[in-house]
Amino acid sequence: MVHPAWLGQGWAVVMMAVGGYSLARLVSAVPLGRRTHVDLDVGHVLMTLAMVGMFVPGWRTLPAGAWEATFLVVGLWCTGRAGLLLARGRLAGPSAAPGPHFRHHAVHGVMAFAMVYMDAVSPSAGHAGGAPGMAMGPGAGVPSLTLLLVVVLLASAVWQLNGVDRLVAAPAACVPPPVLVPAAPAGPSDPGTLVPAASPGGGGPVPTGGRPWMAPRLEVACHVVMCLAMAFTLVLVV
Amino acid sequence: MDQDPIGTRRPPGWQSPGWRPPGWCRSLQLVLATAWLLDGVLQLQPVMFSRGPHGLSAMLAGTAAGNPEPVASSITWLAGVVGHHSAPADLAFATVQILLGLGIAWRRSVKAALAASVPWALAVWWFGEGLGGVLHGTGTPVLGGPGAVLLYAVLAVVLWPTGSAVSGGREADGGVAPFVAAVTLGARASRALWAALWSSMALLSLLGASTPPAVGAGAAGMGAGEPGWLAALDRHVAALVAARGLAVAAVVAVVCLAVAAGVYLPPAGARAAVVLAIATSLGIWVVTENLGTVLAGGATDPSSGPLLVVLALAYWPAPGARRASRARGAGSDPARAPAAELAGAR
Repeated sequence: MVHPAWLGQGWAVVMMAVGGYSLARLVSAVPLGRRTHVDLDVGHVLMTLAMVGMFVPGWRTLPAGAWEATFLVVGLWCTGRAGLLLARGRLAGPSAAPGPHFRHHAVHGVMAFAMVYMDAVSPSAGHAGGAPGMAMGPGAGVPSLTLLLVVVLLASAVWQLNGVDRLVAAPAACVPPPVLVPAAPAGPSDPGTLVPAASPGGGGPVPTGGRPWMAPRLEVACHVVMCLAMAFTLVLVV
Repeated sequence: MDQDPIGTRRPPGWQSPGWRPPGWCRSLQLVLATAWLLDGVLQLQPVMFSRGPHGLSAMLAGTAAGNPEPVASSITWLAGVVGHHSAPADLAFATVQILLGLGIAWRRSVKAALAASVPWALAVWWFGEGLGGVLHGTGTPVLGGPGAVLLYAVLAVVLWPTGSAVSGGREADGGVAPFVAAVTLGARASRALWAALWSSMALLSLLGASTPPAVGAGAAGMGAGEPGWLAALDRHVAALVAARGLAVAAVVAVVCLAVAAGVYLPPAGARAAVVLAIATSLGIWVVTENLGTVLAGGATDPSSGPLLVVLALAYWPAPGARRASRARGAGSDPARAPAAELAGAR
């Protein structure tokens, strides 16, 4: 069963783009003073790097087994973090729902374990049944587990995309609140009121100098693309 | 500090004021989006790119058999076109389905994606499923009839989003929607749609029984390439129904008719009918559809079972429906009390 080589190469290029963007985001987070999840961004970079090698075997960067160990650690870390967040939520109150931090760490845990699974069934990791042009082969995995992982990843992509409009910044949030200064009293009995101070530029909202390439919506897009790529890779082992 | 879905802390105000967490209808839309994505990803399996007997063109050509000449010839023509350009055609099919899934998942494009999914689903039903075998009596519901992809079109109509949360709980005529599907179509039309679908499934079950071994043979044939537990289940089912095809078809038909009629019952009865529909759909999906043969590889969709479950959930009586019927009995305004509860359903 031959899969078109150009399809694997296309996915590999997309993964490189996503990995490069995630790396840039990670590197620029500190100087820009943005609080990001370092562990999740590192996970994105590692996963895209490993998947490039899965799509094009010649572009593998680490020997067989090294990626499995790496993603085992990442998966345990993300699962541990998710468990910790869940426990904190439980301590906060019985009705406290797990927040997006928990969900995202849990999904990244699933993604990391999916990477371990895919790498384990990859023929270049010492297993038979490879398909030319791709590092995966049909019939190499456990079909039920594969399908479960595919559905979880696709559902995660759908969920993230559904929530992406939540990240649209409200106009008021883009503009710093005006500085209020006491107005001149109208008379001896006037207690005084606060009015917005004149801005240095002569009035109007102060531009914040937004960085569209750092928009969280792009982060969501990366997550969606990664989920799709991983699901695509998983169906190759059914 | 606010938290975005990706887990990054944001200053207050980053959350759009118009954003709402998904209600019942939106949740079902998201399940539909996931199904479209799964279809698209399955379409990218290596076997689909091949020109062999298991390739996409052969799969299309296989659905022509038994159909009337105009239908069969149109399917054969498309299979020939796809056969000459198998890789780009398959990639195009997969891309369309993935875009439909992403479009439904993104709130801003949900209407466009649902609208586009209807003609696409109907085209796939024609060319990819041979009209589900409806025209030649093999579209029995136990084997996926009247066609899984037809249900995508039905769901697109039933789950069509309404404009606002307030109107979401009401029908077009101003009454209270007893279930999500009634919000767009109105209670009468949506009930008629449900009854027509399940009645036609009953009819197809009986028509399929004219070839008694169909169910048993279908179940036996499904086992190839499946995991051990599913293959064993297939063997048991095939042995069980081997000589009882007509009886099985009759039982399935009676169940389908009960489900069809159940939507006209009061909320408690309608709820029981929906539960029966879900149980029947899941039973068919596991026992005779073999989870759409996804686990065996080479499947293009998860078959009709999950979609029937989603459709049934769209007919689940809303929490306010019972109180509304009581309010109507007491002579009070029936629209006022449950409207707020149903608003969250969108």
